[in-house]
Amino acid sequence: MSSDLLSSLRLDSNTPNKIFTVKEINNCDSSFIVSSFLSHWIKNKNAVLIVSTHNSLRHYQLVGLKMNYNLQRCIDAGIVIFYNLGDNAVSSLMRNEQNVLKNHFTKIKEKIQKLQETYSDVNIVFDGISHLFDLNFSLSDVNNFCNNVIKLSRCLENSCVLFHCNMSNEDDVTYLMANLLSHKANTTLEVENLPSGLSADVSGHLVIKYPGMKFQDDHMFALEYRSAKFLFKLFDRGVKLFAPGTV
Amino acid sequence: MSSFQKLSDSQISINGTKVKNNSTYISSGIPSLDHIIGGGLPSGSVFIVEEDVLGNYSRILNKYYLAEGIVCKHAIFIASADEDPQEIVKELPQPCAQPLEDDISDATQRTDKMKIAWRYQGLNQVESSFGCNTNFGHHFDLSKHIDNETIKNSQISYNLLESNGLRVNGFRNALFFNLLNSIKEAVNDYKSNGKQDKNILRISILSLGSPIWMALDCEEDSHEGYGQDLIKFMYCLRVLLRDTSAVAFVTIPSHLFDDDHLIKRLLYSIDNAVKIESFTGSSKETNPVYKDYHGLFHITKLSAIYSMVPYVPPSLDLAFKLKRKKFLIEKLHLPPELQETSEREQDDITATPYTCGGFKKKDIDF
Repeated sequence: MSSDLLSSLRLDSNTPNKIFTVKEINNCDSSFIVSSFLSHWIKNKNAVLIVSTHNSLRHYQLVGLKMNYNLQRCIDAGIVIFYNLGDNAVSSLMRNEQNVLKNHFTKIKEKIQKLQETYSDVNIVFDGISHLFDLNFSLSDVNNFCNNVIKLSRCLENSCVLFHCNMSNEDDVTYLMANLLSHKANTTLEVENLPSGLSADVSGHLVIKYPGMKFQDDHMFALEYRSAKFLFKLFDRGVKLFAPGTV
Repeated sequence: MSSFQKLSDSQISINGTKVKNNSTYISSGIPSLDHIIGGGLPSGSVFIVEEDVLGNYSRILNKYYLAEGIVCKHAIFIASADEDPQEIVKELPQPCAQPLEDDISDATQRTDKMKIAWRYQGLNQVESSFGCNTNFGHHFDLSKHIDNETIKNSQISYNLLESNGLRVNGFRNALFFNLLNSIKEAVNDYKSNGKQDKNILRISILSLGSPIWMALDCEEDSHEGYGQDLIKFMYCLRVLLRDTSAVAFVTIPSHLFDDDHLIKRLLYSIDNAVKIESFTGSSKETNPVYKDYHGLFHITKLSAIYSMVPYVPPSLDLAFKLKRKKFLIEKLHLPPELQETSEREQDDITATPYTCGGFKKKDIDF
């Protein structure tokens, strides 16, 4: 049921090293994008590393069961690795230890190398970059961390990186980080709750921009790249996209 | 976690809970609040109430939450830096033994039901007050307090937070660290003793981020890190409680914060959030539109746990009124325009056209 979303993101096209950035605006929850990506990758038997600070494994597992894939079975089979960065960081904080982002990066690197031994293409999902600021990491730390993850993915063939960033306010560090990531991304997704309230028919707005097009020959001389605007409605089994004005 | 999951019987048998979307839900102690946030508070979640200016109603909400826990025999953890938690517990309301007057009058109405015009019969009944027909949760009588004996027999741990001058790495204000440690111990104690599947841990934190907390946060001259400890605390609380059978109910005096930027950052770590706007002391107190209510009730955030689809409440225009035996959240309706003002009468006279016999005595010449 998430085929609308996946086709709009052109995941099947053969351009290597794609970076996706998801901006969550107005308290919108965009975990459906991770679940849709996971369903696509698991179906195609691609290896995935999920680094999460926001949602737990149980969340993705239970959502996945409704979307017809079993994440836990994939973890048992070794095709998916779930790294709970939030849990580890909070545990070391509670032990009154110094929290360094570099240590987490080393662990991520190890896990990617482990996946690489068996699978040629490894995708990386980073859920909840903004929580790193909650843990008091500085903007340069987080930016370096993300850069290193991107560099790491460039060594891998045909891999995708998906960053989730929640934007709380326009003058906030999370807003800055989301823009920095958008600058690096091939595709950005802006997910926003309806500003006027909640509706039973529509869950929110989705704007997909393709800044990566500027590197393609066809769009080399275009100044403005068209963005695709959609309304989306969430279901237990997936997400449905439709053009504004239609239901 | 195994890939095959059987719905355990123990989940269903916990007193005062229900299972929905693979998650255990508990009642907040107010059936109408449960209804508007999607059936109650899911276990492993953080629920915050942004306090009203005087803090009266948020305190009452907290009492209902604790009283519901005592009635359902849940374990309770109370923390506060502003007042002694043992004093809070002394004033918890007692559950109503008899059905409420409204319910009785409803029942009598149903027996001699009036016939209504056939064309309106098929329409859905307009329901402005929520959670009236549910068996989940209790109603409480604010005029009667739960006796000391019952409270002594309940599993309650009290945490009056006082600064002990210790310095910790992660937080500038050690109070946050101490509270997190106590919560962690309480949750771990639950996990290790195998109680997790048998009972619920209700955590209540009163006035988190009040001046007592923040004063310790602002020792340095720079204003840069204002609220950073609070943001960090909230994220750590989220991580500690995730996938456990504990629920946190936190009240925050957000009107005291410097800017709304802080609460927006906090909301990312929070699962469900509501805000109380009391009319006491505001210009809305005398406004005839709001004469039936004590304040407005705002839903700030609703999120979906273990599901993709968040709950959509029936309305976002909500108001509340506090009765002795009920805290009622209703859809805000404008009152009917029944009063005839003098202006209106005058308008009617001038508006009467002469051609339709609308003449006055002075117009008659003979």
